[in-house]
Amino acid sequence: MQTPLSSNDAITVRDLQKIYRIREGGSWRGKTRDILALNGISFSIPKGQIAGFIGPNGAGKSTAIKILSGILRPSSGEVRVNGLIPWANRVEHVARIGVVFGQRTQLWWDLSVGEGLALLRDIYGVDSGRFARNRARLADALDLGGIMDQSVRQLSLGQRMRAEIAASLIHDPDILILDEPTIGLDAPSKLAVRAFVHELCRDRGTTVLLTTHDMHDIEALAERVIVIGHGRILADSPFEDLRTTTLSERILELDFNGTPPELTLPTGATETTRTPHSLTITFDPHQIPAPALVAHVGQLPGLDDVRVSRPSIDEIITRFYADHAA
Amino acid sequence: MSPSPTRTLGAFGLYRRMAGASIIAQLRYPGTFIIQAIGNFVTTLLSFFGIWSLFQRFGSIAGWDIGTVAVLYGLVNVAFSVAETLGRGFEVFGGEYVRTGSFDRLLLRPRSTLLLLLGHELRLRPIGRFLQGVFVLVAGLWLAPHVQWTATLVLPWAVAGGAAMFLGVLIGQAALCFITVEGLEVVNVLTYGGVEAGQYPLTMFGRWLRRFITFVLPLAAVCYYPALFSLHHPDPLGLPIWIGAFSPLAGFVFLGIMVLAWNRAVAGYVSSGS
Amino acid sequence: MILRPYFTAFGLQWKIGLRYRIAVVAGLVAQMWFGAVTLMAYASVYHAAPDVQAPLSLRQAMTYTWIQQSLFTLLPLGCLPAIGDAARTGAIVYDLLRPVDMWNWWLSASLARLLGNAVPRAVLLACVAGPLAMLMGLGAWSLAPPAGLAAAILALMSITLGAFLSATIVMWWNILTARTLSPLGSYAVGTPLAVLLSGMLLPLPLYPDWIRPFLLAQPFAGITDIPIRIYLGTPIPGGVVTGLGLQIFWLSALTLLGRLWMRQTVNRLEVQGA
Repeated sequence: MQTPLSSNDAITVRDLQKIYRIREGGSWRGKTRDILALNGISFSIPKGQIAGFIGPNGAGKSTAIKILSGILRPSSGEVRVNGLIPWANRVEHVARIGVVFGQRTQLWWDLSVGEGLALLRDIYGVDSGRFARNRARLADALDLGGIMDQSVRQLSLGQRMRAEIAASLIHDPDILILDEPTIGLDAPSKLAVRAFVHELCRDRGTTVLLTTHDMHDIEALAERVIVIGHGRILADSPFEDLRTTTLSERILELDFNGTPPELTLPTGATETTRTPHSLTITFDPHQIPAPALVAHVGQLPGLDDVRVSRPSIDEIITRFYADHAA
Repeated sequence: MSPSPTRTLGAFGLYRRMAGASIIAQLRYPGTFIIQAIGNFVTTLLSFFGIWSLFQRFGSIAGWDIGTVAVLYGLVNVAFSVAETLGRGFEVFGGEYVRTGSFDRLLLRPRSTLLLLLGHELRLRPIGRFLQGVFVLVAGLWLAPHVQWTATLVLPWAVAGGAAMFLGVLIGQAALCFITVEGLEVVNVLTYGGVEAGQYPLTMFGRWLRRFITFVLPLAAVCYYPALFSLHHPDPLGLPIWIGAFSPLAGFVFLGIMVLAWNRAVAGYVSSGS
Repeated sequence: MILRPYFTAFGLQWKIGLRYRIAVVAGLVAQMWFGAVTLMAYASVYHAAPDVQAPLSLRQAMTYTWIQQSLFTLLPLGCLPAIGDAARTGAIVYDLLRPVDMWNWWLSASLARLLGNAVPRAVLLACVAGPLAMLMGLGAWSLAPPAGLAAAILALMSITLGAFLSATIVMWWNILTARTLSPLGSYAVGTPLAVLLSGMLLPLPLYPDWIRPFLLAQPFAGITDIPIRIYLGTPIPGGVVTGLGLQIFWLSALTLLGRLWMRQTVNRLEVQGA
């Protein structure tokens, strides 16, 4: 179904295709091979939404991010970001987006955070009044007060990431692209980054596109998840939907104060792991509801503890990719 | 209260800010800077001592007086030091931008990539070569027999043309990095090799080298001819002497060609992604 | 076996030197270029002053230049890169704690690095500048064969001593690096000294006569200048024995003093580390 590229959407992508031509063998031999990195993907993200963009390495995620950022030209397909074609109007386009690459710094190693922000003010042409307000607001929200005068080289990873996020927002971009923003961070820093992004979206209506391998980022932030694999979109839905459609399984863990006994299980439940003092059973609650299963095992001799849990998001995603591998 | 209009800093203003920041960064380690600048000064001064020794032993440099050779030497070194100062971002482009992937980061800034790379670093270290070149140049003017007053105009113009030419070489080297980052030592032939060749009079070289440094790399146009013009020395190869007043323009033409090559290389990078 | 760790250190650095094949070819092109520029300049200077009796004939000066160019990477331009990195990151402390003789450990690594860089380049350049240039009809510009069989054998002995001497001087740069915790100082000091005093810039015999005895007596002459003189059969005051004697003297003196300096440095680092 063809709809016009809507102006209410912050990002619109249609039939995006990217083929890399790789030289094989030595660089002077003429043999080339084509690699299809994106095989016709389409999606659109309305203004003010936080969308998670996930997929295994090599799925085409970073290619898509590069195209949306205007630093790579696709082989075919249409893209509008803020109504602009990213690669055609690079300078105009990048002035209106903010990008954080978790692995690479956009600040200057030998300058302090404050000096780096001032330089970005000049690069983006932010006037001084707006710069002062944004700087104060970001310093407050990201807790940068103590590190403004430190050189970037001396910052811890968590401090640096907070500074990076401030750097990407100093010019009030309408769209923020976060590529692995929590990679390598400790737990408090991760929570701080997530809380900040959440507020940014709520208070300022910034559209956020987030790629990550940390499924907790997705669970905490994303209203919507786009799963990409083999250059195609495998799923595009609210995260909770993904959880229910992909995996309704539950897990029952039993601890014993002796060797777990042999047991027969009702249909829908299977024993998955057995250790000297515990048993793990997975079951489908549609076939055997949790209370019934617990009642079934409740009288086993030596039973110490019983826990029912949902599978972790990592397991869901792993399972999802496995299902779509074919 | 009406919103204040956004005033984007012009290219030159932004360059000044970036250069200022890079100077702050370099002076954070003043000891390193001083040692390197002195090393740079001594190295280049010693290399003139080599030429002077040849002159001492043979009475002339292939029939040229030491004053003329000193002017040539000073010109090429001052011009190269200016290019080294401005063009550091292009010199390290392969290692610091292409190999690490940070060129993508640069493309995310709403400015020309050339401007951003110029702003990578305003390098202070070549001040050693610069001072030493000025020193030899002034000594040469003092020793040379027929210095023209127009030299005060033509020599700075020649330095500008020479700096443009060497900057062009560095930009070309950076453009080459999109194809390969290995074996870039070859470009030394044009940079350090250019300085080496530029400090001798053109007549000393065989025809192929003369042609190369006249038509491929316009080294003669920014050094040899302006020096002859400034010293009122007729060209043994027969070109009219006034050529030297205009020839430094060739340095800027060379720079222009390299800028075009750079823009093509960046466009190629954006469409191929490698 | 007691020598084993030193062989390991040697093998590691030797392989690093050989890994960069494209760099070797690129370096060859650059060195051919520098050689060609220098040769043309010398030819021009010699032809312009046919009456001057220089200590080297033009052919000898050319051969001298080719050998110097081909052995450029044998010069002690600065510390061993691995030690520079270790100094920057602070990992150098671990190096100093190894249960081996630190001097021999670093010396074998430094020697391997020099040879790994220099040997492939020297062989390639010697082939191109020697037989290949002859075949192409550039005999007058080519690398001349050694003065005789005895000269060849003695020159080979002498260059072996030269390589050890160079590695010993690199050791001094290594210690300087360990003391200042930065490789920059060693390069700032080492490069100009090595380039000038080894004869890379201008053959040592061509400097003004009053300075020549000093230039011959200083340690850098023992790296390439003395071996080249033996190869060419140009007289050294006192004969070949003086040449080899000077090399052995500097090798022993720099080793003894260097070991003392190293022990003192290690003590100092241990005190600081505690």
